[in-house]
Amino acid sequence: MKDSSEIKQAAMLFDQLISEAAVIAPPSSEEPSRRSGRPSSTPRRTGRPAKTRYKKQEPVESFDSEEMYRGDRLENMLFAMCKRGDFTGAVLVDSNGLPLAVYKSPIKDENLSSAFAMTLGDVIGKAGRIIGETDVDNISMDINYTDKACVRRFIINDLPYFLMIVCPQDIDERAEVEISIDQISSFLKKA
Amino acid sequence: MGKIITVASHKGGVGKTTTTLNAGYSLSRFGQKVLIIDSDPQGGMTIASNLKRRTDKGLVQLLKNEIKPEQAVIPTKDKQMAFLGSGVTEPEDVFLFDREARKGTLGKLITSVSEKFDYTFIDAPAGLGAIVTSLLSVSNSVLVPVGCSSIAVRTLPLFLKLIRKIRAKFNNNLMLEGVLMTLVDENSASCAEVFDEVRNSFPSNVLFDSYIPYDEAFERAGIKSVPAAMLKGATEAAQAYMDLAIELKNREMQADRKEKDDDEGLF
Repeated sequence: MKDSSEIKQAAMLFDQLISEAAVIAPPSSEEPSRRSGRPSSTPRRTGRPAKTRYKKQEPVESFDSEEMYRGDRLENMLFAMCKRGDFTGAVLVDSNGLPLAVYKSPIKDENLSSAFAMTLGDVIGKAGRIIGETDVDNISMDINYTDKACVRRFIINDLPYFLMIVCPQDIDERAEVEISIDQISSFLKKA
Repeated sequence: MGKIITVASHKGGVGKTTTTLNAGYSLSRFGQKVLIIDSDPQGGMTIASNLKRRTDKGLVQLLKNEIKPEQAVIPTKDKQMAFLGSGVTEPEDVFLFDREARKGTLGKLITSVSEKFDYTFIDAPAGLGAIVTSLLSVSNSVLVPVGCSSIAVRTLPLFLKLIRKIRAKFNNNLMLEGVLMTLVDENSASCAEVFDEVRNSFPSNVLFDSYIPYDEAFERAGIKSVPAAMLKGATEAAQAYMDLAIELKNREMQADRKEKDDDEGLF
């Protein structure tokens, strides 16, 4: 396979298509466009470990870059969720009330946004206890004539996390939120 | 108008029909309205989706003006998807297909039936003939499945040349959606070699991070004529296409994001 003329030709043609802006995904500015520097690795699916007998690649990022990467990934998930569900913004808050990721914060100050999500999140717990229902995880509040803020509480390793989204009142956001929480939970469990 | 994505490759047997059906189904789970068109005279999609049980009418009858689009575009039970079969029932229909493709009628027909859908996925026949050229001339993008074998990878240059020619002559808006590695056998050393070579040689943004494993669940799904996600015990196979659908959306949004930058808050 190595040094195959067809592969070289295909690579050249791909480069030409990229230079003509004919490829949907823009080339990433953070990584080299070619992966030749990588050690040989087995096929791996995004976001899940390979069940393979080949050698796994060792992590090379520092703690700081890993943290940056996690934040970016979470932000991308929120961005994707908002686009798929037609939401206007989203905030993901951890059990300490700190924002893990924000996409188009409903309030300009991200910390205030998190505090708002936490406040609604606390209400879920308290209101649930009052009515004797332990599985209450959602709260929705109309914040103006057209939009609502919805907070969904979910648990990872016994700690509560809160996902708040802002969307038009006529949207049923639940399915999209559930799919995204699955994605976020599996990512946070691994991180 | 929605987006028309043609799933095409020079080599046959690389999973075009499987990819069209399963990627389309996964996108429809996000609430997108998806139309699946079988433009392959072999009618693989018509069989794979069990459409034949509902109707044998399709593109051929529409091209002959014998029926109206609503008689051939068959919605699924949940109305999130619809299928348009090839309608090929006689050998001469294959020639008609080719002829109408050359005249440009096939392309115009596809553009008009796609209007009401968010996404139209077209299962193209293998090769570089008139039908594929006609489809790419009216598509927004092309998704290229490549089987994890040396022959499949080596047929790529010719297909990429066709894409460039179509962009130059007929459709300068045609984009490369990405190359999808299919039939990836995680226990095969030769497959791992091919996969490594592809990852090392091709620019990272043309290759999807998701890949489709070799999984006999696809064969079982084919026997039952359903997408893998509707088959019990086919979680891995279904997840692979759900990952692809998410990646497709993310890529599309990244491209959108470049154009619009919203840093401001809502209020």
